[in-house]
This record gives sequence, structure tokens and C-alpha cells, in this order.
Amino acid sequence: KQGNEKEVVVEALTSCSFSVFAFQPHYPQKIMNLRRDLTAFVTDIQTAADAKVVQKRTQLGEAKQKREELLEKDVKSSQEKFDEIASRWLIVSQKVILPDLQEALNKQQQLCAVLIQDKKKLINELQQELKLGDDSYVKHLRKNAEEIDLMIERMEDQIQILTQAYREELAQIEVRPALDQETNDLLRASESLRWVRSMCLTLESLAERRKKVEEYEEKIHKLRFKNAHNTKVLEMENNAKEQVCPNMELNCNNASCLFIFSSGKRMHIYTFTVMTLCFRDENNLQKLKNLYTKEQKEFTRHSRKLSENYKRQIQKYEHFAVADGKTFEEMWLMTDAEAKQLAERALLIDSVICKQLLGLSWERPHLASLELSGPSRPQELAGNSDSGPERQEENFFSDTQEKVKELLCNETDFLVETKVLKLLAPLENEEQTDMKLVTLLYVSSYSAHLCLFLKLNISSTTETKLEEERTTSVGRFSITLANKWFACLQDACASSDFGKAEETRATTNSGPELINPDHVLPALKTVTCFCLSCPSYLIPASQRDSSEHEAYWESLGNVVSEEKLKLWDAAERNLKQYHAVLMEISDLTLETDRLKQRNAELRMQLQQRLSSTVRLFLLTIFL
Amino acid sequence: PFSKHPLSHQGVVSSGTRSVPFSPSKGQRKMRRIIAENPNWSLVVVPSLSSMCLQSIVNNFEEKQIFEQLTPGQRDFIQEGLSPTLPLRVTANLIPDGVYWKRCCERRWDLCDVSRYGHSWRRMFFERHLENLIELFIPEVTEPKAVLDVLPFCKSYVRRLNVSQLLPPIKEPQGEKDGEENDLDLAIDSEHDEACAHHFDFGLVLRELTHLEELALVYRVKECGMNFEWKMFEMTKRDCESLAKALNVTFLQLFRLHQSNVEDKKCRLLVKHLLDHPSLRELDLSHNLIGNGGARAIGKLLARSKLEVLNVCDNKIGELGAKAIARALSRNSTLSSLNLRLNLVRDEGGAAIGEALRSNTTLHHLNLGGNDMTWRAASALSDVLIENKTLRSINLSCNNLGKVGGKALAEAMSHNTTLTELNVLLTEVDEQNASFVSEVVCANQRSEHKKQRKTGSIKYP
Repeated sequence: KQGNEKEVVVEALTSCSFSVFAFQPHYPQKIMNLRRDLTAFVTDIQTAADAKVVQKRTQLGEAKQKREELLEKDVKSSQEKFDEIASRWLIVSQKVILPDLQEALNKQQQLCAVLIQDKKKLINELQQELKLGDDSYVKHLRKNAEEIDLMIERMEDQIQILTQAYREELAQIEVRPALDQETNDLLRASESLRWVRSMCLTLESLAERRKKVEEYEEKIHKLRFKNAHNTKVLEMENNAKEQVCPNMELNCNNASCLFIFSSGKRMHIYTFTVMTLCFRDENNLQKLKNLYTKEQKEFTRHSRKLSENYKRQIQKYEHFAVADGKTFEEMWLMTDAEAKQLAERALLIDSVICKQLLGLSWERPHLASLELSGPSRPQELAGNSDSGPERQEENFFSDTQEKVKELLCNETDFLVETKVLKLLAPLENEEQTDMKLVTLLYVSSYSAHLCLFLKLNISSTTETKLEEERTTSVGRFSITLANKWFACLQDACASSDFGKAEETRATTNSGPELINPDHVLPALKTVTCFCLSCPSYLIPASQRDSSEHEAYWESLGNVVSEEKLKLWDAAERNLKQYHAVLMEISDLTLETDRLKQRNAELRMQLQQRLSSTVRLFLLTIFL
Repeated sequence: PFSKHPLSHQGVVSSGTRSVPFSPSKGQRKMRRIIAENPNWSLVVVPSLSSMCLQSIVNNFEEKQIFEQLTPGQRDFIQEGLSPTLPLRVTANLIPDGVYWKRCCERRWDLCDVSRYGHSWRRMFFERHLENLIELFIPEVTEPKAVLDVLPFCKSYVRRLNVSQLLPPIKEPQGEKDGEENDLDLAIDSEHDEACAHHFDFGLVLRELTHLEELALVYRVKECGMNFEWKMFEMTKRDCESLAKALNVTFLQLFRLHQSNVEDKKCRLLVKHLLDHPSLRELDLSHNLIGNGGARAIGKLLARSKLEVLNVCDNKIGELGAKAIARALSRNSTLSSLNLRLNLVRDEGGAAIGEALRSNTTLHHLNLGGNDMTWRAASALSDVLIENKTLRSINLSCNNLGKVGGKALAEAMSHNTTLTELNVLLTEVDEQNASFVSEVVCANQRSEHKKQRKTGSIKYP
């Protein structure tokens, strides 16, 4: 029991101390050691208590064993004695004599007394033992209490030490954050700097990469475009050659025909090889095709836009040209009128001089130029007589002309590639025809370069031929074109114009309007002639009339002749002399006038003076 | 304290113009000050109407409870003002945990460590209140109603009951006469004894306490002085029966029964009712008289339940009991701590437990201190130490291991890296081996500490 009590207390204390230590998660080594060493003391005490308990248990066990032995012995001895007493009772019962009996009884009594004494002695001994045990228990309790007090004291000390250690630790922890803060800030700054730097680097590299990618893309794009273009051109050429061949047979000799054929074949072979090459990387081709169609669409859109833009520009130019012309005409008229007026005046002066000064008869000089009144007049005068009827004709057949042109183009559709037709589909009717014409020309073996150039030019000439044809190249081209055509038509149509007309009729039967067969040939001719001739009215204004106008203006300027001028000079001189004399005369007259006046004044003064002296005299007289 | 006619007194009224600085922004508004006749009077003393209302609420709280509809500040005021003597039926569920319950606790007890009660003053109050009621309950004198009446209020707050004494019934003066008579009839005596000497019946209480998690009982009388009797320090058979039945009903996790002279029979009875307990995690039957029979029952319990901590220190468990426990241990997969300190396990039992640890992977702590073991058990255990990687601490103190045992342990420790505690004090192990063992243990502790720092979680035993 003694040990038990202490045991429990110790346990409670240790558990308590453990619970104190059991909540901070991280400790430095010092506190770890402290904890271990300090608690070791407590655990040591616990083991010591255990040992004591064990010892006590063994002691108690031994004591118990001893007691049991003692009791057993006692039981044995008392049993013997009791047996003895019991056996003696028989003897006692046999005794008949009273004194004997008395004696025996006494003996018995004595024996019993001894037995009881023994028992009492034993009881005393046990009681003493118990008392001793009690005393020792009390002593133990006291000792335990003392020990517990001591232990509590020690534990308090320990707790103090630990709290001290914890406080130090806490102080360190409190100090540390400041340092940590600084280092952290530094670290963070450097880290961020590094990060920014690395970011810059990566950004730069990325930009470079992007640039490169763009470059490569551009290159690839260019290459693709070039490839596509080349293949297309080659194909077109080949096709054209092949298609042209049968047509050309008509008007080309065999040799040229053969040459063309061979070249066509060669081209065919070439295109074939090209095609095979292209076929090799079909994917690439497919891509290129896609790209091409895209580009095509883009291009058509762009070209339409450009043409619209161009049209607008042309309109603007036209408008400006008209306005300029108007202002020019007005200016012309104005200056002309002024000049004429001046001339008239000069003539008038001349006549006056001649008639009045010199007394000569004056004739009005004949000057045609004085009758002119507009800038166009001299042109008309110098204009080509050929253009007149042609223009009329042109006007007359303009509708038919258009139709014929269309027809011609539609008829020759078979010569034109379907691709080109497709391309032309979105364009306007007139533009289409022009384009077809171009392709036809192209077909008739013109160099590809020129053709492309022409194509570009002509497509934009559709409605604004006037302006376009001013450029000499186009003019030249149109002439050559006309020649070619003329030759063709001469061969094809003129020889069998009836057949041609028939054919035309047949082809145009389906159309709503029939072209008069009589008009066909002239129209054709006009078309060609129109192309052939370079009408004078197309000559620019600056070139048109510079010399004539010069002459005109010269004539105007020379209304008064050189001799007349000399005459005029002489007259002027004379007049000047005359004028000087007259001036002198006028001066003199003025002088005389002034003198006359002076004279008059003096006379007056004299008169007055005289009259005053007389009066004085009279006064004096009177006085 | 007000003067009825302020003008009659000298200097009573100060016109507002003089007190303009009081509110310079509203200088136009005239202010009036009334100064009391009594020079000691000040405006601070006058309570505001709201506080007076609150005070009246506090005063009449028992009749009419106005609490829920108040603002938090007013609630605080009421908690500060309420009397701790109010009947629990009024306050138990109405007043939240906080100032009021703190006041209640501090009024009744000097030492109030709220951290032991989950930082809840209300829980502390109710637990200690109920403990007091049970500890002072005298069977057949105190009305059971006194305890039962409180239960409805405290049943949702009581998590732990730590009963440090249970009073026996008061012996009637005629008991002595009974005793004399009993000499004549032993049968009657035992029956009578059983009938009258039982303690508080826990069946009534535990049935109600649905939130109870920990229950610690000691069948003893504190400060008995010269009235000491052995009977005061043991539970009767009937106590045991009622307690066992009560335990079967509740959902507690920890059950502790100290110093109550629990013998094999009672132990078996208790264990029988705990066998299929769904939630019990910790069983503590230390400082009793459990022998081999009880140990066998405990072994059965180990095999069937999910116990994590078993403490049977300071009992009388011998070799056979230890073997039974060892057998259960080899099959059990939940127990993490086993305390067999101050028993009589001896070599055979120690060896059996060592053998069981070969196949066990859950036990972290083992205490075999003071078990009269020798070097044989030590060598058996040291064999296990080489293989086992889950054991964290072993206590072999107060055993006569001798030099041989020490040597065996030292050798085993040189192969072990997980053990962080090995107590070989007072085992007659020679200095060299003891110091070696402690060195290895220190190294293990350090590595363990580092590991825990890395993972960031530290568990302390």
C-alpha cells in the first residue's frame, strides 16, 4: 500500500511534466538535451520508485512466508498439545478417586493455560509485528511525503530552468526575425533582379526567334509563290503552244509549224517533267495550290479595287482636263480679244499718223488672223482631212463595232484557256473582251513578257483608251496589233466574206439581235483601222498647235510693220520737236501774260497815288 | 442628487456661450449644463437607461429570459451581470460559453485550468459539477434525483468524467449487530452485504451522457482518516455488474479504473461487456489486483476490439497472463502502447511478448519495468529489436538483466535505427553497454528529429 501511494503521485507528476513538454514542435539542440536530461531525472525517480515497490513486495512476501511458517509451526505445536490434552481427558475420565481427579484436572488446566499462553504470546507477537508494520508504514509515508516534496522542489527548479531556456530561445527567435527580415529582403531583391534579367534574356531570345520565324516564313512564301508562278507560266506557255499549233497551221509554213510543234513538244516534255517534279511532293503542290487560289482571289479583289481606283482617278483627270481646257479657252479668248483690240488701236493710231501727220493715204492691212476667235480654229484649219470621214464612220458603226469585237472574242474562246476564262468571269463584259483580245494576241506568239505587260495595260484601257493610248508604247502596240489582225482578217474574212458573214449569222442566230451582214466588214475594218490609225485628235494639245499659234500670235504682233515703226519714230521725233517749240511758246505766252498783269497793276497803283496826292493837295488848299 | 431649481444656487448655470469650445462647429447651438448640488456627484455615475434596462433583465433573468434578441454588446453585459447561482435549467442551454461560465467556475473552484477542458468554460463547469455530485453521492441517503435532474442540461457538454472518489453507503448502527448475527448465518451475511454496500450506480448516468468520451473512476474514499476500512477501497460485485452494463451502452473512448481492487473475476466481467465496444481506444486498469485470469480476458479483448493503448501496470499478471496477452498481440493490428510495469511477467512472459513482436507492426511503446525478468528475456527481446522497425520505446528498468542481458541489448541496438528510448536503469547492466545503448538511442532521436523536421510533423509520445 505504501509504495502504491507514492507510485501514483510520481506518475501524476511525470505525466504532468510530460504534458508541459509536449507541445512545442521544434527545438534546438540545447533544449532537446535539456529536456532529455531533466526528464531523465524524473524517469529515474520513477524507476527508483518501481524498484522500491518491487523490493517492498519481496519483503512483504518474505514476511508473509515467515508468518505463515510461524503460524503453521504454532498450529502444529498447539495441535500436539491439544491432542495431549484430549488424550489426557480419557485418563481423567478413568480416574475415580477425587484427589486424583482433582490433580488430573489441575494438570489439564495447567496444560490449557500453557496453550492459551502460547496463543496469547503468538497473538502478542503478531500484534507487535503489526504495530511495527504500522510504524514503518507511517515512517514510509513521511519519507515519501518528504521525497515528494523534494521532488516537487526539484521539478520546480527544472521547470524554472526550462522556462529560462525557453525564454532565451524566444528572445533569440525574436531577435532572429529582424536579421531574417534583412537577409530576406536582400535575397528577395537579388532574386527579383535575377528574375527580371532572365526574363529580359528570354524575351530577347523569343523576339529573335520570332523574327527568324517571320523571315523564314517570308522566304518560304516567296519561294512558293515563285514556284507557283513559274509552274503556271510554264503550263500556260505549253498549253498555249499546243493550242495555237493547229490554228497556226493555216497561215504558217510547214517549217515554222514544225518548229512550233517541236518547241511545243519540248515544252510539253518540260512541263511533264515539271509536273512530275511537282507531283513528287504532292502535298507541297496542294499547299501551293491552296495558297495560289487564295492569292488569286486576293489578286482579283485587289485588281478590281485598283481598277476602280484607276477609273476614279481617270474621271478626276478628265474632269480636270475639261476644266483646264475651259479655262484655257477662256484665257485664249480673252487674250485674243485684248490683242485684237490692241492691234486695232495700233492700226487706228497708224492711220491717224499716216493720214493726219504725214498726209498719206492709209490702207488697212489684210490680216486674216484678226478674224480668228477660238483656239480650235487653227487646228481645224490645219486638221487632217482623213480623220473626218473615219470618225463619222466610227460613230456610225460604234454599236456594231462593239458587237463584232465581242463576237470575235467569243468565237475565239476556244483558243483561250479555260483558266483564263474562269479568271475573267467576274470582270465586266467589256473588260472580258479586252482580256480575251489580249490572250489572243498572246496566243499569236508574242513574247510572254510583252504580253503580261500588255495585259496589265490593256485591262486598264478598257474605257479610257484616249488617255492610255497617249503612251507611245501602247500606240505602237496597237499599230502592230492592228497590222497583225488586219493581215489575219484579210486572209480569213476578206477572201470569203460571205462565208464569214454566214458563219457570223449562224453563230449569232441565238442572240436576240442580229448584226447586219453588210455592217460586219466595215465594222471589222474600222476596228482594225481604229487600231491602225493614230488619229490626230489624239495628239496632245501641247504638240498640236504650238507653231501655228506662234505664227498667229506673231502675225498679231506684227500688225504694225517695221517701216511703219520707223516712220512712227520719225514722226515722234518731229512731234517731240514740235512739242518742245510749243512748250516754249506756251512759256512765253505765260510770261507775257504775267507782264501784262504787272503792268496793269502798276498802272492802277500810279492812278491811286496820283489821286491821293491830288486830294492832299486839295485839302491843303482847302485848309 | 439633482438640484430642482438650478438658478437658486450660486454658479449653477453656466451659459452656453462660455462652453462654446465644447462644440465649435455648431457654435450657434446653445448648450446647457446642470451641475449638481452635491459636489461628489458626476455624470458618469448616472446609468444610462439602456444599461438600467439590461440590469433589470439581469435581475429578472430567472423569471423571464431575454437574451437571444440582444446585440452582442448587451449580451456581454448580461453575461457579466448574471448571478452564478441561477438554476441550471435556465442558463444551461441559453448562455453561450464564455464570461458567465468562467465566473461560475471561478466562484466554485480555485484552480481552473480551462485548457484541460478544450478551452470551454461551460464544459469545465458541467463536468466538474457532475463529478462533484457523483463524488458526494451517498447511496441510500442522497436522492438519485439530485444527479438525474442535472443530466438533461449537462449531457451535451460533458465529454469527460474523472471521478476521484465514490462513497460507500453509511453503515447503520445496527450494522454491528448484524455483524454479530452474521457469524451465525454466513449466507445471509453475504447477501446483505451485497445489498447494502454498493456504490453509486453509473447505469443511470452513463445512459444519459451521450457525448461522454472519457471515463475515469476510482472506488475509494479520500481523506478517510481513522475511519479506514478495506471495504472503502474496493468495488463490490454488484458495482462491477452495474458499471459493466453501463459501459456497454455508452460510446466512450477511454476507460480508466484505478486502485479499486479489481480482481480476476471483476476484470473478466468488465472485459466481457467491453468486448464488442465500438469506440473504445484506451483501457487503463492499473493499480489493481488482476492476475492471470484477468489477463487472459484482456488478451481476448485485445484480439477483438480496436484498442490502441492498454495500461495494466501494478497488477499481478504472471507468466500465463503475459503469454495470453502476447498471443493477442501477435494477431492484433491496432495496439500502439502496452504497459505491463510492475507485474510478474518474468522470463517466460517477456520471451513470449518478444516473440509476438516479431509479427506485430503496430506497437510503438512497451513497458516491462519491474517484472522480475533476467537475461533470458533480455536476449529474446534483443533478437526482436534487430528485426522490428516499429518500436519506438522500451522500458526494461528494475529487472535483473545482468551483464549478459546488457551485452545482448547493446548488440541489438547496434543494428537498430528506430528505437528512440530504451530504459535499462537498475538492471545491473554494466556501464559500458548502458552508455553504448544510450548513445545509440540519442543518435536515433536526433535522426528522428531531423526526419520530423523535414516532414514538418512531430508526434510526441
